[in-house]
Amino acid sequence: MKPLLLALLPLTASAASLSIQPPRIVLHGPHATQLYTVTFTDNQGYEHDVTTECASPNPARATMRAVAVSCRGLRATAPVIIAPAARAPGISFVNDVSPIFTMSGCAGANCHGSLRGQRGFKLSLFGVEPKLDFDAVAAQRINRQQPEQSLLLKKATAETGHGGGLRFAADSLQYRTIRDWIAQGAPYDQDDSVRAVSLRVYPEERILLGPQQKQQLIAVATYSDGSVRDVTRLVQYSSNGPDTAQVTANGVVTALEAGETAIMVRTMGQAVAARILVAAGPTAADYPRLAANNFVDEHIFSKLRRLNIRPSGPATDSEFLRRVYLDTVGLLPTEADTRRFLASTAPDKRRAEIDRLLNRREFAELWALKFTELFRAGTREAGAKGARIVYNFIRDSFLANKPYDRFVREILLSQGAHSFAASSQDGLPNAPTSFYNISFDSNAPDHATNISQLFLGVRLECAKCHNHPWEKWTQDDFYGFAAFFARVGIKEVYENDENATQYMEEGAVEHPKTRKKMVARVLDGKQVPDSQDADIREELAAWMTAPDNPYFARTMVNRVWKHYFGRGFVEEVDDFRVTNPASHPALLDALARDFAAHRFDLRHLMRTILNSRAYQLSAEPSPSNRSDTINFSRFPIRRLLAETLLDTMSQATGVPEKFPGYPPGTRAMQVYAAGAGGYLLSSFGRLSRDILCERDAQPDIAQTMHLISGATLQNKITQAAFDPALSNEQLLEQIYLRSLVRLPSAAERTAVLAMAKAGDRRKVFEDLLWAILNSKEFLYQH
Amino acid sequence: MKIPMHRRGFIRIGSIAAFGTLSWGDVLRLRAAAPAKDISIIHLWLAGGLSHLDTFDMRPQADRKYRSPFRQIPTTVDGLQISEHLPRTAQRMNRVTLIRSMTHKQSAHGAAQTLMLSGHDALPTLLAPAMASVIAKELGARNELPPYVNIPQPRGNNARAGFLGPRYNPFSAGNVNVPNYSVRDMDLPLGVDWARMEGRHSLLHLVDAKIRNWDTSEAFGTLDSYYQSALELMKSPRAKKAFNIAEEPEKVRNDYGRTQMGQGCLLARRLVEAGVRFVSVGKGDNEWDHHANLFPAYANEFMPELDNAFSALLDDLEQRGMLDSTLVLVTGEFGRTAEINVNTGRDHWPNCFSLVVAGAGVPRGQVVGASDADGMYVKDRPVEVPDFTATIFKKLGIDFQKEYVSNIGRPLKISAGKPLNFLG
Repeated sequence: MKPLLLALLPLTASAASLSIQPPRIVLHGPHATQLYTVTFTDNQGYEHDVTTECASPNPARATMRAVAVSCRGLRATAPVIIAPAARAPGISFVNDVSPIFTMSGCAGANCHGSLRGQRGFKLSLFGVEPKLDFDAVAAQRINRQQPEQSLLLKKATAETGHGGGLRFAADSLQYRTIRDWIAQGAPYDQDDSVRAVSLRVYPEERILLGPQQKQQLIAVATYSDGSVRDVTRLVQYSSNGPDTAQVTANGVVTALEAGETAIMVRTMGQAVAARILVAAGPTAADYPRLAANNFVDEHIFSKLRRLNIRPSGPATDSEFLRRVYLDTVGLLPTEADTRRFLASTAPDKRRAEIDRLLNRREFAELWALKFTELFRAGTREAGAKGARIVYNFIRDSFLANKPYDRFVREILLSQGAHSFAASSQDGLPNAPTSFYNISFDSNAPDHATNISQLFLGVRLECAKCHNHPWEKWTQDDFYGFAAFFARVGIKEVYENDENATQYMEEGAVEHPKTRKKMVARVLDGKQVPDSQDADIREELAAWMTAPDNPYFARTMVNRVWKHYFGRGFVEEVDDFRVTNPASHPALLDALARDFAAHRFDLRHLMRTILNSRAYQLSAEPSPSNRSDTINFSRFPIRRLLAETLLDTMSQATGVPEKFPGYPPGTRAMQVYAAGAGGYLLSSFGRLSRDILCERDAQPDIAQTMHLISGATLQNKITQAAFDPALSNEQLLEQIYLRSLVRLPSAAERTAVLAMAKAGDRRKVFEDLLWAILNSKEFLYQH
Repeated sequence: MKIPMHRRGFIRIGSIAAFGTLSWGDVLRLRAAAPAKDISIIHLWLAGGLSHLDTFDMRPQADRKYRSPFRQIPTTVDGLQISEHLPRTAQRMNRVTLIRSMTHKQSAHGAAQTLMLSGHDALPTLLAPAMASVIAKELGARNELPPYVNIPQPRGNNARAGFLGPRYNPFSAGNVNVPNYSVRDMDLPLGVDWARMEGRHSLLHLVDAKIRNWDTSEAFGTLDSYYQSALELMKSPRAKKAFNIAEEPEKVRNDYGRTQMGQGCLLARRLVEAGVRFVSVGKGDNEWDHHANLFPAYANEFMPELDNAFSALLDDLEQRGMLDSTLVLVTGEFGRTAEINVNTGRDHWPNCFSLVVAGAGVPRGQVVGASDADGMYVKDRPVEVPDFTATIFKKLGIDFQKEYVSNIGRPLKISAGKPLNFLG
């Protein structure tokens, strides 16, 4: 992670330098070799791959004591450490042959790695099961007497017909490895327990300045016996964004167009990613000096500067006001609020407004609704009442600014009747115990899936059925995590129709294959044995909410960032993995550290984000940042939340919405029940909560028809009161301020006033309201 | 000042049509490749999972803990018997193909529905498009009606367009089995005529001027294209007529059955007549998921509803000469367990289940495959879902080996299966 931090420090002119990757070369045994790259760092801080210019194409060998390079008047060295040979001589099927199937694409999901294999030849997906692969290969695809006649080689070289075409040539390294292995008698490893346990790629991040710039990647694997090995020519490379950068089978990356992508590097069940950023060119001489409001801006702006992308200008006061109201409290400012804010000359008026908003009840209600939906509260038996209990608990937690770690701990440890029980000692309601009773058959694996995804940003679910092909998670990890919930049970109570979550006397989670009882284990960490008289979830909560937990704070930071910017550093927000790298890893880390250091104070986190210049940039693109989609060079335009849309329609027209079963004056943001609140909400993305997923903000035809002619809008327009005491001009301004938080433009003013003068005033202003409520400026956050 | 009236803009606001209208070149290319018949599909979608053991693949001799309380009755196919609660269907089995050996491995609703509706295994990050959405994209709209309609509405993501984008999502027709059914929001509000709506649109154009050029993700263009399609649909006399199920004689409506599936199938026929390519007809929210009290629910509600809707639809299509160009598909996402559980229900069972398919050249009176003694596993001729979807794509003249690049960059063939040779 260190190199990333360095890479994102603000640019200052500094001395050029030369370096070698890997910086320390370890060779096991006399025949081991290691490819390396030479990097020139120029005086602007940009790094360039100068390997072909500065070094011999030969790898480091055991005969060397160090690699030394002199080039461009600079020197660099890397020590070569000779270690004992790691394993038996000869070619290993597990560690030499099997990886070829992955790197050559044979073991991919659309080829022999698919569930059903291909033409009777089935390999394990990405080579995670070498013994099965060996059996498939050894069965009838090799010829020990005449290795060159082996079907395996003849197919891969397309010498005989092969649906997959040519995978490697007869003079390639891959070919020679497999041929020599067959000539050795095609043995399976006597000890196949030595496996790759981690993979590292050099560099982990690189900015390429313009199209056609190249970078060689170096891959080094570490094995379970502690040895390391150069696997640069033994891994599969693939670009997540082939329009931005391509990569060859030998790991040479070529920049194509400005943007950012990850190059996935994969072998033997391991995967890592190198982040490749392609800038149109180095920072221009006249690149503006950008003042930072806080550390958020330092990170955002330094990356923009390095990519030579100019941010948009600042948002106007009226744009900022509308934006921050919608994002924090889900409402528009009133006409009076807007006039007061626009008239104020106080230099810190934006900061003061943010503080005011974060203390409002509607702020807590917005997050209550978001989490009620994430918790999928109120489905099945729990019903609307269950949803209300959960909603109230979350709302009150946010109102009290309860630290996020405590909030999650209370939920994790909850037990008792699913009712609004007596308040705990500090006057706050007890945690919603129905959290564990999402569906009628919720069980320990379900809890493991939900909790890992919600609070840790890890999609552990794949590992429920099979080891994850792109991640390190195994079934042991999944069921070890699930074992924390082995004793969580639902007790059916028939009185009052209320169930209860109970921590049972006993309970166990079994591994589905071995049938062994699992000992609880935190992700990436220690086992926690169960003891009869303790609630093992305490240990889980302690691990999760520890300030240095690698998942907990970052997941919430990412969620909060996405709420305000429409896009997480990691997308999807609950899919953290090495092959899905963050757009701003150092900023994510810094925000997470700051969040933990401030005792998980959510308002502090949000204040930091909202007070940044990045949040207060205009949404209007500039020629320089028009094609940027992930660097927050302008405020991203996005659709409003369904509830916000409905509530602001009510505000703009002055006609409140009625929700059956809720008291008059209820806003959509306060409608807690699953799937409730009417057609507009459901068609604009409110979830039924039957599955764990994020909302989809894409439009569709039904939404559009509802906006054009639906009753929601039509009722509000026809019931809107147009104050007869106001002149047409005054009424026009009132409508614009209430709905778009701005005054009408000259063109708008002239056109509408002319129409109102000539025609039916009521009709004209109804039509204007229709047009405003259908406009992009109203429907979108910007 | 007079504000400009964007008459042309009113008709064609965006450059992208929401239903994926094709260019003339596309049309010519498709014509060259198209099969003789332009085939439409009506899918009776039994979401939740139909019990094959109480309907199309019964085991009267099974052990008590497995045995359905229903009797079997003869059908119009020699030697073929089905449930007593499908009497009208029994009379029409000589017009359909019954597959008794469908099989897959997904036992959760979501994953199984994704597989059945898309032909692809569900992956947590890859949003595979439903077969109907692929058809909408590949063949486009026939006219101003949407190519893919879902009755009443899609549930979850798996009936939707996934990475192909919302342009190919289904249009929801809503519940048809209500008095005075109409499609939501199809008609202009009271007091607003098209002239006034056009005026409103000119104002909208004016208000949009400020941020029209701020969007770089094409979201605005997409929204504009939806306005265009929505307005075309709302103005279309053809669409209005197709959705006006009240035009149907009382006798016909009763023949289909005054049920969600009955009226849904009748509307589906009208929509296909008017040009819709794919209509899915269901009961809503996994209604067929009978973990408890299966038998009374089947006998009293679910089977009569299916029996009447399916039989009436077959007769109606045949009588109108539409059956040769309309594929009718009856299936849920899986079958149900042989063992009857303690709540007298049956649980999810994907290993072996039944599917009925008719029309569009599918052989009549054919039974394909067989299950084992208890109806648990396939004994003969297993039929995998990807092969089934490949067959459908081929029938429609779609190059099913074509690859899309998915949302995660992974290539995805339209279908990875091989067409089955026994479906005509």
